[in-house]
Amino acid sequence: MTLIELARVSVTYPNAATPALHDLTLTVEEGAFLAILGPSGCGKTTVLRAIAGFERPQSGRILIDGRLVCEGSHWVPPEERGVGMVFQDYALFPHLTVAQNVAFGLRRSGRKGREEADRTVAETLGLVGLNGMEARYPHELSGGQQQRVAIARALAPKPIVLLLDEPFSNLDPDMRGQMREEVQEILLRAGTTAILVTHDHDEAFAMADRVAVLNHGRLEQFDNPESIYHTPSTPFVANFVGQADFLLGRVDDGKIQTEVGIFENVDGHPPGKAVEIMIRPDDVHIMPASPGAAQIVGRQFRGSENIYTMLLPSGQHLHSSEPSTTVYPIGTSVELKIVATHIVIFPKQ
Amino acid sequence: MTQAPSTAFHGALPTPPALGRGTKVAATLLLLGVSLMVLPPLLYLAGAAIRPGTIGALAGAALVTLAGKSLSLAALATIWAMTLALPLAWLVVRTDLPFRDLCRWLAVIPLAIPSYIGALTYIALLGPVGTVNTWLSTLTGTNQQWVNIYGYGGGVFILGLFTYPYIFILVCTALDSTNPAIEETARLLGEGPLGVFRRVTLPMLRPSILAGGLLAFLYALSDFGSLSLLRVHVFTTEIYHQLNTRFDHSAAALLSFVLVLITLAVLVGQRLLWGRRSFVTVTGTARVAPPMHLGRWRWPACALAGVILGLSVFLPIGVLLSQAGSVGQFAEVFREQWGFFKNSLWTAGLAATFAMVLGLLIAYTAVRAKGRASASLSGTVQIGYAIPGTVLGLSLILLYNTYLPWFYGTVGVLVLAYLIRFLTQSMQGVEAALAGINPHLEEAARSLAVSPGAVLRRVLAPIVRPTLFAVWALVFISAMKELDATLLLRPAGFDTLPVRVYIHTVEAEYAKAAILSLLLIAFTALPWLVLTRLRGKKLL
Repeated sequence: MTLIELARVSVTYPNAATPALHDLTLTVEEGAFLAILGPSGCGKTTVLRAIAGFERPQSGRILIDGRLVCEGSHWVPPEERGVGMVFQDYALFPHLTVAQNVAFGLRRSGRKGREEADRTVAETLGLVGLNGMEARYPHELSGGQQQRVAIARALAPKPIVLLLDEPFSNLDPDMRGQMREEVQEILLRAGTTAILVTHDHDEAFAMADRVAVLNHGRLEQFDNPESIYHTPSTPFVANFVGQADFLLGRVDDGKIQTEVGIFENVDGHPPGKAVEIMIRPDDVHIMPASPGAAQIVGRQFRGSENIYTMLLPSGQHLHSSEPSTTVYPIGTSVELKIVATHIVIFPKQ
Repeated sequence: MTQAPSTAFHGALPTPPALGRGTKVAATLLLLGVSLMVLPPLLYLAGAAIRPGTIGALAGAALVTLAGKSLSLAALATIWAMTLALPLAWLVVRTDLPFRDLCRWLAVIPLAIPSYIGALTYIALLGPVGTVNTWLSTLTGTNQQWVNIYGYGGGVFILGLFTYPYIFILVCTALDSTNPAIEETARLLGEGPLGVFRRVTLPMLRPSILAGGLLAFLYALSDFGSLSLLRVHVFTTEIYHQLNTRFDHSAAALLSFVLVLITLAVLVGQRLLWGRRSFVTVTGTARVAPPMHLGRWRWPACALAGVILGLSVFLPIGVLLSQAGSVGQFAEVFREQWGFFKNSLWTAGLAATFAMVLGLLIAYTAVRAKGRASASLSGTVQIGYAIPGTVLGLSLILLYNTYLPWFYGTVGVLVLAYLIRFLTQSMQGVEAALAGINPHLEEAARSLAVSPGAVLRRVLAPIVRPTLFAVWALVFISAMKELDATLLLRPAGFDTLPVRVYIHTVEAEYAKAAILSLLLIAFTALPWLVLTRLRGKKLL
């Protein structure tokens, strides 16, 4: 069932030349985890703020759980949308304790209401693993704990969807991986639909089951993480979600001829046309050979792997990922073996 | 979670390197000197107050009545100041109020108008022989008193009207720096705009409101000038009365002692109440909350701001200008009173220079020698600030009249009084500037093989220099405006501008009082404008 629907949504900020969002159409299924991925300034946060009701689109419509929240002059204010949000800087209420923060969005009228609210607070704090911290103030918590409070506070009123705006960017790198796993588990247990905004493709791939890549306010690709990585639909996406080389080729005889080999013309590009074929470092394997097809001109040791830079006779560079223990000296002449399970070809621009 | 701006330094980086034994000795010597300046007058006052027989001179019941009156007046003035400051601050920071930047700038001006000048303008306007009464009497042909600003209510009105900027400034800063995401979160959790204000915005402003309120309260509690002109009977005016008309030193001492105790109780109570729970969230967020659209309330809100600014800025200045009369009259009074003007300038300038040098020394040792001596040093300096001017005047009279009669009755006592009262301003200013310097700067200089002395000269001094100018100007302004202690301590015939303003107002010579007031405001507003310009250029 479709839970969130954005149809041709456009947002232009006052005094801005280009729209922050342009004709964006997106859907999120119930229980799904969507990541909106893009460089800074691509409009990804604007999507969240439009769903939450902090930005008013100039055109298009937004439905939350089948309810129209925004179209033309029709407008539902943020407090009536049933949306939870976790901000980059957590935005905890500094004057309230952990328990009071979490209870903020709960109805506490009457004895029964209060009892139920207390129960929900205890449950939610248990969910995020913060029992025993009820009486602390936000400034007495660590970054990771503050984040958990922010998530608990957003989850306590049982929102239709949880919006996460770059929630891990303020954490230390070693803390980040741990919190990602924890948050994923919390959301799974709570069964909440979530939308995550991030500029980190590793984060998007690790957490989400759908990824929307945004650039300059436009949707570039909307797919599952594997497809985004292996079959990017534009050169921008190909570059943004991982390292990639683009080798020049030409369509000839139903195949694509390049200086490192011949590839299938999967998309049926017309004969004679100049194309670029995308090759990721993990598709390229090298073996020392003399004379070889290329020469090693650089090596980056990344711990778990070695990334080699090769110079091809035409002057183009190609990268290869090799195991961390495979070390060849710079200047070695090598033979290339390209194992491309997914062939991605773009017309030459 | 806070992204610190690159130039300023926030947080717990290593403390700057201590300079060893030399600084400890310097701190102790400074402590000794400052203590000798501040503590003996107070101790002597305490001694005079609890001498047997003094309690009888003033019945306990009268004392309680007086205390009740002083405290309730200060409390009401504070509430009145909050009532003025809060809506104005919210309007100028958070809404699309017309002329919001201008309003924000104007709202600080009452700080440049000493409360006794504020009182003078309203007396000239609403006093028994003021403009309004005269005008209404002529209009109706009866000789009736229609309005009267004198008394308790007038005191509350005036003090609130001229102290609200203390609260306004702090609340504006707090509103500026609140993270808009906090209020947005509250919206998502189901609160409407009003609920957000009540449950989130207001509680987050509470520390600023209370801090500003405390300043206004202490000001009202210690004020003598305006309350004396308005003929209100509170501690300060009663002390002056006992001393100057009844020549009863012990009664004045007892009253002063009780007032000091009350002030200290307020300060200690404040520490106990909100010492622990300070939750100022200045997250370095780049995002600013979009201004709220007032819609059809835009112009009514503008009118409200206009009324507040009218009462506290335009009306007083207007009254002064209209009372001052022609340019010729102005020039004549200026010539006649030039001597007093000079007195004000050089005493204030001298006090400011002493305060600047001493403040730098104290602040430097306090930042360097983090020990018990330096902690008690700044504590001692702050006592001087907390003592009401009238009380300080009285204690200096009592002490120096007894032990150093040759010093008593000289201008030196006056300058000493200014120094004791305003040293805190300079010390805190320099201390904040020094503490704000990233210690890595000093360490970087040291690592470039520069001696500690050269670090002070080549790195610290250039950074602190604008602050030194600023604290000099700040103390100069305060000393120029000082009335309460000056009135008691001035040598015979040595009047200052505030004293002349006071005397002319008492004698209902409003034209002369107005001219001198305008001069005083001009000479205190001028350094103040320079100060805010420097601040605007981030030099402070």
